[in-house]
Amino acid sequence: MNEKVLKRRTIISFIISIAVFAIIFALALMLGRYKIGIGDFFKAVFTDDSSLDTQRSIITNLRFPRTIMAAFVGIGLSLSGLLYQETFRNKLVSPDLLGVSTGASVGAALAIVLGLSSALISVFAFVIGLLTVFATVLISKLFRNGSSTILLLSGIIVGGFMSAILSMIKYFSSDITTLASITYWLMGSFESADMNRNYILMGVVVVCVIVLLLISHPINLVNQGKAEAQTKGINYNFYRGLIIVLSTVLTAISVCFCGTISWIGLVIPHIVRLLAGRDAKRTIPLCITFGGTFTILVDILSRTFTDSEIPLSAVTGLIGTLIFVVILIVKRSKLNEHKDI
Amino acid sequence: MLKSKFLPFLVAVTSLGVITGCSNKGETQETISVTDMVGTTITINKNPKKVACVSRTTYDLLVAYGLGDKIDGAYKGTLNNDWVPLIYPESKNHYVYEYQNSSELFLSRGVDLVFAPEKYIADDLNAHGVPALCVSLYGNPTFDNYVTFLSQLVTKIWDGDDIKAKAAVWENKVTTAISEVTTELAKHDITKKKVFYVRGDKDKGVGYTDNQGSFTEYAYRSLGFDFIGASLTTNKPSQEEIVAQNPDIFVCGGQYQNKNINALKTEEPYTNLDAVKNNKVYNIPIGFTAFEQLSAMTPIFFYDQANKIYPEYFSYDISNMVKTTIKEYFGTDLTDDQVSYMLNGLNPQGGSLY
Repeated sequence: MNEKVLKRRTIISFIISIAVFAIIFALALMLGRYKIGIGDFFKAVFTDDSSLDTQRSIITNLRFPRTIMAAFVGIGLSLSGLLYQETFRNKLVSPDLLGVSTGASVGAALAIVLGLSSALISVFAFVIGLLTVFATVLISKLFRNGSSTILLLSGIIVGGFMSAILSMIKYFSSDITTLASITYWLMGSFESADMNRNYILMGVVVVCVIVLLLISHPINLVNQGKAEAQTKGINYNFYRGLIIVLSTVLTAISVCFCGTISWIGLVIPHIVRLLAGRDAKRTIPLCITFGGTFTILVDILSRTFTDSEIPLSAVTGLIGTLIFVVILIVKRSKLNEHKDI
Repeated sequence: MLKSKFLPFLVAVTSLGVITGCSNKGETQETISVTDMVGTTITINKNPKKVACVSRTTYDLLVAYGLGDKIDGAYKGTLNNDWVPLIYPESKNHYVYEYQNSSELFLSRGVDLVFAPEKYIADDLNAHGVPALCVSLYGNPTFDNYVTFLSQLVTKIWDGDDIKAKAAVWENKVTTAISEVTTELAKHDITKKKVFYVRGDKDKGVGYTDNQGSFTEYAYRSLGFDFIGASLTTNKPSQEEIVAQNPDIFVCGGQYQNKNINALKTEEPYTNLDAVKNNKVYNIPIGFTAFEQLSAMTPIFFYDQANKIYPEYFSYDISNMVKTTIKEYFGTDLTDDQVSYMLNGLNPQGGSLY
């Protein structure tokens, strides 16, 4: 497709998606099991009317922190999915490719069994998530072969091992105290969101996004493969390593606060590529707005229509599979015209 | 060749049959057909000697009726309670069962009856030769017809005038307690209040309750309340759902009750709720069993809640009732301090139960 057309489409999509993001964000603050009228909503937010203390508390203590978290987790998972897919040149890989989510799950489960605080659960999830990826890279080094296939296979091996560890922890955990917590954590929820966690999440995501935007040209070259990248004069191994590190950190920081959430890292990059092609300068900004909006929407759906919160992975699974089918149908018709989509 | 191979096997099987037949001749085991809470009828040996109380409501009443020596073991959630070894020291000899256990475990332990908490568990055990009755925590559609079910089931399964007498006394006490409280409440013009029950038997926070069909739903409905859990489709309502319901009263049970009470009183958005603002957050005592579970303490559960929620109409001497009941059913003397700890959801030393 013509670059000019793609650029124009990206700009239009970006402007519209920012507007949609703002609307969905506002809706997320207004909607929930506790009904708040529009008048009361604005009064609660912009006045000190003491008769609206409950509404204000719900908006500021429950909905605002979780909406912020949803937005940044969506951004993190979408970007990491995009980067993994482009770097490994495989459209079907997800952010858990190198075992980071499984490792984070083991960390969280271990912390829950040890009875640690929710802050330490996040720390364990983050650290063990990163260590798992480190183990994946180490194992791939044993083969003395720098190919992506070996790294992928190492990810499958380490991910499988960590899954087994997770099963063992669940088996030995108490069904009275910890098993339900582990199971619930694994299904994903923004219920424990607060602003302290959000500051950490936002800080990490913002730094990663800035770096990614700065290296968007090298990302495009790395995506073309080692030979092509080296011909263009960039240090392929360095940039590929940097992209993997940033993607892994984005996944780990997202997962450690809210549990594992499937499909976001798979679906959003596909939608974005459909609109803007493969240029990282265009796909990264769109992943930010699309990923954030989609995850906020998922959170609204998970907490608004039932007495209890539906686990996030259940909602993303239902919506994600439907969207993915639509994407594949659209792509099938365009595949003959544009093999790069 | 073939004959010589199978001959020893044939002899062994025949001998086993003869031996088994001989051993059964002397013992004519009386059997009885019983129907469990979910309507399954099975035939079991009368007066079983090794019972597994996996259903958590069964352990308390069996011990209270003097059948402790017939118990092989109980669910770990039941035994993992600091009050149990104090009130019934023999509990230390009881095997600690998981929620789901293999048929082989029961067979290897020689268990002749299992009280299972769910139908599928009981069905599975029965299919594998382990007699099992489902004693659920939930009635269908409500618990109204099941309050004395277990007590009557026990008197059918075990012979003994003492057991029957204890069961009759307990059933009478439960009926009297409910009748006394409801009769008194009927004399007053009381607006129906919304009560939210926080389970607290697992560390799941404030958003963990019981629904339609539970004993607590029956109990609080009997006391004239609108039990919020009955209208919910889940036993894990979200924070927003609880705030939207804005209960008039919170009642907190289980070993995590004090943690949940603290959360209600200190954490937003709960602090804005009517029940919290009006200081209508009450605990439910926990002893050998949580008082809100069907147990020897069930009559006292009604009196205690009546005292707390309607102090203007009721002033039962709960401490004395607890002391007397524990002595009567379990033979244990509790000190005043211990009774006080029990009533406040603490362990026998006054510390936390979790």
